[in-house]
Amino acid sequence: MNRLPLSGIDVMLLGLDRIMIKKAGRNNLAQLVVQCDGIVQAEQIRESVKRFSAVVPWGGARLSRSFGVSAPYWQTVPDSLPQVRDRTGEDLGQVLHQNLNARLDPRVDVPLRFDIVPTRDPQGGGVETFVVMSWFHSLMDPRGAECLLIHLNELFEKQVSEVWPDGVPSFSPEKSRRPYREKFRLSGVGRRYIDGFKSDPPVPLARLSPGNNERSVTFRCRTYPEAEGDLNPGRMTKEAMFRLALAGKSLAPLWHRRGVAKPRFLLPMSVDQRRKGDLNVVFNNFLALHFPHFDAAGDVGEIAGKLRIQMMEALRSGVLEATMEAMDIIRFMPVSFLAWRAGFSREGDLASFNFADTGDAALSGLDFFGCRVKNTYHVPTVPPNPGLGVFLNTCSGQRNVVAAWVEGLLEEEEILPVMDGIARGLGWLQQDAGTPTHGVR
Amino acid sequence: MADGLPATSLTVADIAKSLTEFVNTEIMAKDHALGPTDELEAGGVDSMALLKVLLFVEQTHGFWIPDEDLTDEVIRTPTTLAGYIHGRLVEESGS
Repeated sequence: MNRLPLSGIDVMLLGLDRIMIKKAGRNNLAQLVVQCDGIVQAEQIRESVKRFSAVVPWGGARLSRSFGVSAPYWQTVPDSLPQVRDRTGEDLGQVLHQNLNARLDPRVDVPLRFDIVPTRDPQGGGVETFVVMSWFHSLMDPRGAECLLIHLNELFEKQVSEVWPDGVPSFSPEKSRRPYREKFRLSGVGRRYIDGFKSDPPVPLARLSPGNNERSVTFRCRTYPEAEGDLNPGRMTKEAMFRLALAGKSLAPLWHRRGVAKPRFLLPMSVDQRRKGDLNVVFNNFLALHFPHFDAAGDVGEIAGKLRIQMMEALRSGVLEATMEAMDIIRFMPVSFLAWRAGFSREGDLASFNFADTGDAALSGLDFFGCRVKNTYHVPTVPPNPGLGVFLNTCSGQRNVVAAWVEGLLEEEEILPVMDGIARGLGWLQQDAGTPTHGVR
Repeated sequence: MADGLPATSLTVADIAKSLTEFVNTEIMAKDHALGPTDELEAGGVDSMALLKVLLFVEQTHGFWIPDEDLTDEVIRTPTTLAGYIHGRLVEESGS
């Protein structure tokens, strides 16, 4: 076992990477931040990574493609381990900033890194630790990253044989066992679906203000205490389409200010294909793509209803599976051809905002390396217009709204109303006057 | 209708059983099966998985659950959802 083939969507991300670097010189690392209430030592993470890598080598592998024509795969490299860096004394914002501006060459560099950043709790408490995991985005998807952290946590106190007494799982999704004829049929359905988007107008990429070339990433987290009783009776605020609609509607004034008077666009959504409760699919992006049309006109309920109908239609028609098969088939195409084939515009970005609801993440309730998890969020690597990522989660009974934006694209005074608007729409309590906002720069 | 039975001959337990089977077959991992009274959300059924459940309800019982009825109380467990579905079936067969 020294090769792990990339999935169709892994390869698609490679293609996108090629296009986006030409367009905007962006980085190619995905990042997941876990804020822990206490001290997590780099050595603890390093030991767990070592144990895990001894049986699952992909975090230290390199990207390869035989003779430049086969489907790409991860190739193991002897004694190669993911990097674990102790960043004591450094500022979290600087660490994230460095990662935001970093690119790695997956053919040469280790595709997975950890930065351990201890810092003083700004609310006057003790020390807290930010565990920042960054990886080349074709290696795994964000949910896979969460699963990996859970396995590392298990290996913190146990040996491999104790954690997996019946044998180590493969940690990558099973391959489709459909007959080739069926694969090609579904692939055709998926390609026609994706091709249909080429006529949709692109949303322009967010641009930095003149003279600002720093591209510093800035975070703002606002925490909302548990509500006494239900503030929003009769409405299921946990439902994905409602939350997506709420985030999109809250962003509409920002688009308006950026010259997009009537925000209407395709909204690429990744749909996790893991069985619920299964933490063993870590590597490969295991996602299906869905492309609903988003229109900010109407109230949140109407927008959510339209998104839900489109998702139901995609589930009914089987087009989600078809897009997965379509991507699987085009793995053999040249990378430079892939993103174009998928309908992503060279002139702009079909995506319009980053939004992730990590409320059901298994990390949320976890005792992580002996510490309570206070917050988890992903860092948007791509700043599509208007250049903002919004993340929702509930950790240790606290409801968190995390906004991440790129300096020069947005100002803080534009962000805070968006965050409060989303929390209000969810029925979350207004922040106590005495609860300071936690900013990470 | 499930099992070809008239709507009102289905009990809440029958409906809960078919919902639980669907959830365990199509959504949950093999070693994380849920029971009829287990909480769906706590078991890992996220909002996207919930859409699959709603689609199953539509295909099996012939109606779509409107947004205003999708409360936390209704979708708490397979049994609470079955209670709602049973109520709708009784209502429709009486009208």
